[in-house]
Amino acid sequence: MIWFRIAWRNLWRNRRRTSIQLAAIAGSLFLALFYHHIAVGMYADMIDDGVRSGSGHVGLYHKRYLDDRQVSDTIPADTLVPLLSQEPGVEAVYARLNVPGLLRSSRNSRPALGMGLDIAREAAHNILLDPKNLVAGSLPDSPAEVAIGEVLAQELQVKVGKKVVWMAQDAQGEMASKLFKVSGILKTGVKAVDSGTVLASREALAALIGREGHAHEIAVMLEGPEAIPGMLPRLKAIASQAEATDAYPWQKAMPNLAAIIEWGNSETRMIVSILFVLVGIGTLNTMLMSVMERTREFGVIRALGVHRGSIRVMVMAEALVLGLAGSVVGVALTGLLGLYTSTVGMDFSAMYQDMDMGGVALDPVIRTGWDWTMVLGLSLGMILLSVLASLYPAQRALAIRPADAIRK
Amino acid sequence: MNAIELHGVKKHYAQADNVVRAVDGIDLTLAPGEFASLAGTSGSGKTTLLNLIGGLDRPKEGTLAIDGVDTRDKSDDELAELRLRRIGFVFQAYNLIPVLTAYENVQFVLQAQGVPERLHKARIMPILEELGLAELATRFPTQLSGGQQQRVAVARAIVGNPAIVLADEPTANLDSETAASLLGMMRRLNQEHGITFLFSSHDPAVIAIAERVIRLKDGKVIADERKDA
Repeated sequence: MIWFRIAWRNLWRNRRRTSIQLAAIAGSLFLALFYHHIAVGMYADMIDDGVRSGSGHVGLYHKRYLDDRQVSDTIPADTLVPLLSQEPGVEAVYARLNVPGLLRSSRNSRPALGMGLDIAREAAHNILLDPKNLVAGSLPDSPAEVAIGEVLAQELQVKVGKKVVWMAQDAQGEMASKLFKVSGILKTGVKAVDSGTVLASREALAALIGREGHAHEIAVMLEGPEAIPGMLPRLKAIASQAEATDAYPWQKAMPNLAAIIEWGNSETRMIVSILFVLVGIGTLNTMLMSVMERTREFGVIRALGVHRGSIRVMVMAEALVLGLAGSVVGVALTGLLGLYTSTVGMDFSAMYQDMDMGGVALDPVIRTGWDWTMVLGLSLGMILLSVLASLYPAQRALAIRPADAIRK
Repeated sequence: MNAIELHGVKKHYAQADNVVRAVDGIDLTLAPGEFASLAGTSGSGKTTLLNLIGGLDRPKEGTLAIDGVDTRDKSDDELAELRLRRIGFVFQAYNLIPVLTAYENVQFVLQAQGVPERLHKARIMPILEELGLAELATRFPTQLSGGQQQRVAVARAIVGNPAIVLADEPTANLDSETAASLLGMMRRLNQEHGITFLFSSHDPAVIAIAERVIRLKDGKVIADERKDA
């Protein structure tokens, strides 16, 4: 179509100006997409690690538990876990107890959170139980053993093989205590874990609080976060078979992690908005200069009888071509770099050693993700923005009086 | 029905404290197929009158009809449509679109008229051949001489099958030989296709080729001379 041919050729009448604006569009799109893809990759890892060591994609809890975290608000894990495990679409089910208390050694005492896990069942999936986190000893393999965080061990001045006493309130509100042997010392990079977590078997902690067969949390692992909406109603139906029990998506069960991701997404939106405003102003300026330099030409075109609508199309076609070319280059740049960074990753270990967010350890090697929705959305947005930025220049072109313009 | 019909047409401009009477009560009629020239010195009102006839400007007073269409109450878009369908323009400075080839400059009008693209070549190439431009069809304006550019402008003016071609000083930027050649070409198109030509000039050699000369002074017609057939 002749309007697009004219648009393309007109753009290159001022190569430097067009190149600069093209670079601005491509560069902005690249920055916005690449930043988003870093966040996508990082958040995907955080969610994956978070759901594995936390609530699962869907967590079952006593209806009061997420608000008060009372030791007495347990749910019947021995009844629910078999039912959940049989549900199609459920990949794994982990029951856990969380018992806050005081850990005492012969030298010192520190407050800590006792996590009662089915260690053998979870070992392959829960990143807290990853053998690489063990700096000494092994994971507990009997109800008489615990593994504790490295900082906690230093503060209590205990080593592997030493005895510690776990004191906590039981489900009836009475004080209870139990002697454990330290089987291993962990270093996860998550401050809350390294300085205040005691890993024990669920069986041991259930006996300590007087709730055998129960758990505070049943983490249900699905195929991925995208399966949550489809599975949640069925899991809620199973949860309802136990008294005062409900199923919640991870965002509700781990609000800190959800808030961090939402904050990150807001930050991305803000960066994209700023870039779009800058690109919009740049495109408007480019198009306005292009129109004003061609006053005589637009006068001639009007004199030939070309309609106002067609003149508007001519100017907007230039902006459309500019936006389209810039977006293609921007997406290509993002794709090329993304190919590398999604496989090899970007290693930030020199800058960050132990880093956690929302209680989840961050891998210092960040691999970018790829979000087609964002790629298409931002590209179309950039093209639309370019076209919108040409509305005023198009109006200026329409205001040119042919008789005056031709005389110039 | 006349090709051009003006009655009492006036166009005045305010300039500082003075009123410039660029066109001052002109009555003029051109029959279809005439080959006429507006003659006069600079400032006599030739360009303003051509702009009024072409619908590029609006008269202060008077009535104006082009190819039988009264332009008084027409909107800007309706005047544009009238120009697109019934009037061809040739300008002093050629005014071709620099990013389009000779062929594409001519095609531009057909595109604006909404003529299907498959018909373009059959409409354009005979005209380019008639004007000796067929070999130059793929050249851009900067690759053409002044005379060649003005021939492309003439091709652009007639490709839409207009009833009237208005040419403002079409030979002013051309040497005498090229000017004579261009005028001969316009005359041939006038005779062979029956298109009404009205062009302005202050060059006696150019005016001499016209079959009718309308002389202007201070915005008024001071003489309307017809050559004997």
